[in-house]
Amino acid sequence: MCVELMTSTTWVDYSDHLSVVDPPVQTRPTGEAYVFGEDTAVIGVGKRGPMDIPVRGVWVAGSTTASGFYTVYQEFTAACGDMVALRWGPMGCTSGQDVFYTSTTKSEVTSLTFPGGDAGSADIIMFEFVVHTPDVTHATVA
Amino acid sequence: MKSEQRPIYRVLHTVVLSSDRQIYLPGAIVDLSHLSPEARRQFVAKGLFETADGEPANIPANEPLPCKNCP
Repeated sequence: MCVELMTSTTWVDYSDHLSVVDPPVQTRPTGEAYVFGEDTAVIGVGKRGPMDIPVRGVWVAGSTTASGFYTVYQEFTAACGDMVALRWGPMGCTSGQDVFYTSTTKSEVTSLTFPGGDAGSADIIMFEFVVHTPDVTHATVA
Repeated sequence: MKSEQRPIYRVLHTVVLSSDRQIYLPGAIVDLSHLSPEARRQFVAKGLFETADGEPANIPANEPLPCKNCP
């Protein structure tokens, strides 16, 4: 699997820093009503709703350039937030593979979990952020 | 290299070119000289591209960037 982020116009591979992309779920709102003459509901469906995509990564101390955390942190702390688009390939990003990407104009980081620590733990220090996007698009690497 | 000799294709399904990692939407004209002829044939067979004419939106990875103030 590979994971890339785009904060301006260039996609950057952060596969060495990010470890998990939770599979997003997109849903449509539904409505229902019942009439006397039918045994089943009359249903309706609305427009596709936005998605929240949680992403987890390994925090790298002291790095402000190649670190996934500080890249996201800089965009998240910008006034009113800046765009962070996410692209991932479940089987990698090499030629012939399928990738999925969030909107390249309206994706925002809406949540950022900072790295913490526990003196009695040997766990790797992680961070997490959530990308809020109206849509995910499929593409093929060629 | 003359443009008529370059492998110019029209994108039919959204792709990410491995040469520049950028996204190209259906309708875009691209230069696929970074792919082997066999790879191009396979992608055409899969319906990702069709042959076309025009100025490509991408700069092929195996071609030097245009220089400024060239002699």
